[in-house]
Amino acid sequence: MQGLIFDIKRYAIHDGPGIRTTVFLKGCPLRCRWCHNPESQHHQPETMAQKRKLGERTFMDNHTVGYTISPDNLMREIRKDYVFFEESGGGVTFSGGEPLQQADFLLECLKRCKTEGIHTCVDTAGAVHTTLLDEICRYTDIFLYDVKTADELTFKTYIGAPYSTVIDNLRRIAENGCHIIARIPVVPDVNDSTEQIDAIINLLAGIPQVRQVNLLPFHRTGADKYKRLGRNWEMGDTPNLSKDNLQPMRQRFTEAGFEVKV
Amino acid sequence: MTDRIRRLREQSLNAVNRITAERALLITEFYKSGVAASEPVPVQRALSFKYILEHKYICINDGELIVGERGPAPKATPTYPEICIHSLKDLQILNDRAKVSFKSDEETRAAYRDIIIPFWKGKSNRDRIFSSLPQEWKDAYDAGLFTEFQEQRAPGHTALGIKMFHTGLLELKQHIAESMAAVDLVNDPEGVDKRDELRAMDIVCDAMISYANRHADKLEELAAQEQDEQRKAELLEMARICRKVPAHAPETVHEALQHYWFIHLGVVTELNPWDSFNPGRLDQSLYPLYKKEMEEGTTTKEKVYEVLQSFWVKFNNHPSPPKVGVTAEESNTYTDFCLINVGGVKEDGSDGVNEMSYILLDVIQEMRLLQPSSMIQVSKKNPDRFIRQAVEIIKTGFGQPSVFNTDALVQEMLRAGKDVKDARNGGCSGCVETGAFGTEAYILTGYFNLPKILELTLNDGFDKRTGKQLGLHTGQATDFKTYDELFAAYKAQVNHFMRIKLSGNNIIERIFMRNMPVPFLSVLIDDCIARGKDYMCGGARYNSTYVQGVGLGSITDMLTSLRYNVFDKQNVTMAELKEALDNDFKGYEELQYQLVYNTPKYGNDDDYADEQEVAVFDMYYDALSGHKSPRGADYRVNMLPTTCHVYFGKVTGATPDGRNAWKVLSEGISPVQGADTNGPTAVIRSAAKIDHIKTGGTLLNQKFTPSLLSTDEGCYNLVHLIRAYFRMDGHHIQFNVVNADTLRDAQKHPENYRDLIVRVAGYSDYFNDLGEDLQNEIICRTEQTTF
Repeated sequence: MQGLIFDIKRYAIHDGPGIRTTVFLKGCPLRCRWCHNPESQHHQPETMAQKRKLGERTFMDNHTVGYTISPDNLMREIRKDYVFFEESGGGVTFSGGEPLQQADFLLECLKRCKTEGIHTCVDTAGAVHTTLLDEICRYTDIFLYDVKTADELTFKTYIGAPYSTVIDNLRRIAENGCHIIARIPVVPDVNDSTEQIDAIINLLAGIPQVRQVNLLPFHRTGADKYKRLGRNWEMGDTPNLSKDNLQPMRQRFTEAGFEVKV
Repeated sequence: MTDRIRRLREQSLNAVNRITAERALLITEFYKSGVAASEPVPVQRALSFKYILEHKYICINDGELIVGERGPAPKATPTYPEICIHSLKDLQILNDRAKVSFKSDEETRAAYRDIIIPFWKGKSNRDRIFSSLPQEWKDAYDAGLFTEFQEQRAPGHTALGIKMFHTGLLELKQHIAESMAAVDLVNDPEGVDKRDELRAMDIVCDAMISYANRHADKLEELAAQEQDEQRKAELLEMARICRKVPAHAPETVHEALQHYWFIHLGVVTELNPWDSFNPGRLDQSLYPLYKKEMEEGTTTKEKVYEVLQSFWVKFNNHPSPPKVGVTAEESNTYTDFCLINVGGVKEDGSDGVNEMSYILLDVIQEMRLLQPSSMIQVSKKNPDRFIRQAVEIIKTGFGQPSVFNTDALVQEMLRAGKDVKDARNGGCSGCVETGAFGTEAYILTGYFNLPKILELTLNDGFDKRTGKQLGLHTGQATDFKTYDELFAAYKAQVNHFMRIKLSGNNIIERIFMRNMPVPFLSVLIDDCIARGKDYMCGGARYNSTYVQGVGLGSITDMLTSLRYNVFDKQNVTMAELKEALDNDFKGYEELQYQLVYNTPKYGNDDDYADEQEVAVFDMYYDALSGHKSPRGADYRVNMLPTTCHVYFGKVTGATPDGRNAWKVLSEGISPVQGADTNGPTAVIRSAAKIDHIKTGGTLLNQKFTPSLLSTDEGCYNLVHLIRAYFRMDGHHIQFNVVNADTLRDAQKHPENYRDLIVRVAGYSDYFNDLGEDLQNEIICRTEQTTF
């Protein structure tokens, strides 16, 4: 069995508790235009240009994004930071792309992690139907679940996947008793209105497993990657959001009884 | 911070670093007079010490609570012509240089010209050293293969033990008398030497007690004139203290600090030892006194803070004695490396963190001074809260405190044969040097240029820069059929230069043993009195000598590049690579790109590269271990650079890791600047692959962006990172918390950043006081940021 991944980031400290190693699985059914990891979307390795300076000269180096890896080899990488996980209450986070798209591989790796006593998070947007979901839940300590909007029309317009799958999966995970952290990428003019936020609060209020909400302010750091992949960045001049911009939103979630992190 | 402390701190910060001829003139007068010419050397030295303390100006600064200056005023810095004569040209250079300058006025220069230089010319220890060293040593030294610590400054490199905070000099005089009574002049071949040494020890104790009394006299004088009743009472109290310590054991925090400060002044007046002197485990030493005073209600927390802060200022008043030439390059800073230890374990192995530990952290944070430098010792027994509090200071970005692994230090010392109690009472001084405080003479002797030796190996032992055949003929680079052959040649060259370095060391050590005994330092360090033997001569209970390896990251990447590109992948032939190196990569930029960006690098937890790290370290360890110095010390490994990685870079041509000629090398055991791209856990894992327990200190620098430590969670992650490194037996880690943009702006507008302090390597310094190369080096260090 092989998985397709495009990166392993160590000392990831924003993808769940403690010091973590985040494994980025490649391939995603969604094409969110604000996506800051466009190299995560396609299901096959691709070429990305890289500009690097050496002294006065600039070199262009094309490198391949995405490679296959066996669970054995992946575990070897994950295991390296075991001491850091133990000290910090951290572990591994499977992110993407959409990790549920490689459900077999994901499940196998999660199982191995649990056998070795490693804390696991799965960072998903939930837009994939998989019969393995219940089993994946058994080996996942925390789901980081993308809640981009609770409005079906917005979902259709900007995200394009079947909204019902996302909601069904969220409920299924909750029914399995898994701990869930809702992650909300806040994008100007897409989901930052009061109505949008209230809809999300309404949705989440009905799911007792969600106690914590992470607000991820929109940023433009991915723009350059689109160019390097030969694609278009469709967010135009949309400006970065700051933590301060999210203050009112933070307030609303707090008032609704959620623990909020920005 | 009280107004008084604010004033004292300002006074210290604003004082101009300058040369004073006071000490040099006094010692010249003493030796000129010939009064002690017929005495044995230790007694001569003791009497010269007495003469200086009897005649030097007693400086009491307005409002201070701890008294005593090394010179006649704050930052008035003495020289030590018996060790090294500063020529008029040296004084001019020191006066004029843009960074780390020492001003000298006409009167001072006249004193050197007319009195000091004519008397000492040809008679200083430096003159003795250079006339004794063999040519091969001088050639290698000139080529920058190694440096020499003891050519301008004396060995010292030690810290006061906890015991001495509870012992007065009168008690030591009794021990001296007992030891003297036991000297066997008939049967012991060393009996006469012991008698002379013990006499010298007795003289210096008296000299120090009367020096303290001179302060008491002056304080009483000042009190008589003082109009302010509160200050008058303070002055009288200070006078009382100066009559009590260091003759008697201190019984309050204030007394203990004054006690230490007199001792400190004694050590740095007797000679100019490297790393000045060090109160060592200050929280452990002060806590019992503090506790008793608080219980009895005889002091308040406010008073304790104030006297500690007044004590802190004293260190900052003492820049490192002025160095010139190569020695200035290897350690170009005002810092004199007093490193206060906080935390760690008690003698019985239990958690040593106490209320005083937290008070000292507060003082460090509030004073924010370059000197004294500070560190925390972290044992698995210490609470996370203690580290967390230190991170609060670290995140403010002035590089203090650095962080040390007590459990590793204790293991290092046990491995070196020390008693477990002595090990637990020890710590680190200077930058990162492990030692048993109060019982060990652990002396640093110079830096060793590991990358340069590979350059010579690739040229059959020939040094292109100096045009000399310095190394062995180990064959042309193109002759090496395998990587193992190349490594074997490198090893032979390392052993060759180590032999030259150690032979020089032993010559120099012998010169110090014969000519520069330090009876005052000797009475402070066990078992010099009991053995009747000077600190310089092996009188301490334990003796170690270090040669500090520099450029582990660079040499690892250089060897890795050769193994990977020439032998394993055959991306380039040795002949081509040699040509590229000889041309400093001009016309070979594509190749250079391959070497820099597409070759495995140390610091990424990549075993392919890290195998070379371990191999070089083990080889260096083997080259140094098993040798003994004339005073009976064991040679040991230490991996720290101070600023020597800049100097060593300046003498080293282009290297196979893609580094251009004369550019800076990596520092400590940190990766090459910018080569580590997998985050701090990967750096730590790479760094932990060498066996730190076999060393007497390693130095790992990490640069974090402030945003990483902007939340409580972020700070705790740093705590966990430290804990994890220490579980892997890492010795030390230190942090710069600053954005590269800030540093770049500081380079452009130094006037806006006069108080910007950064971590260099084992010490902090004002960014503006660093040379441009070093500034650039720090900017280029990999910035660990959020993902």
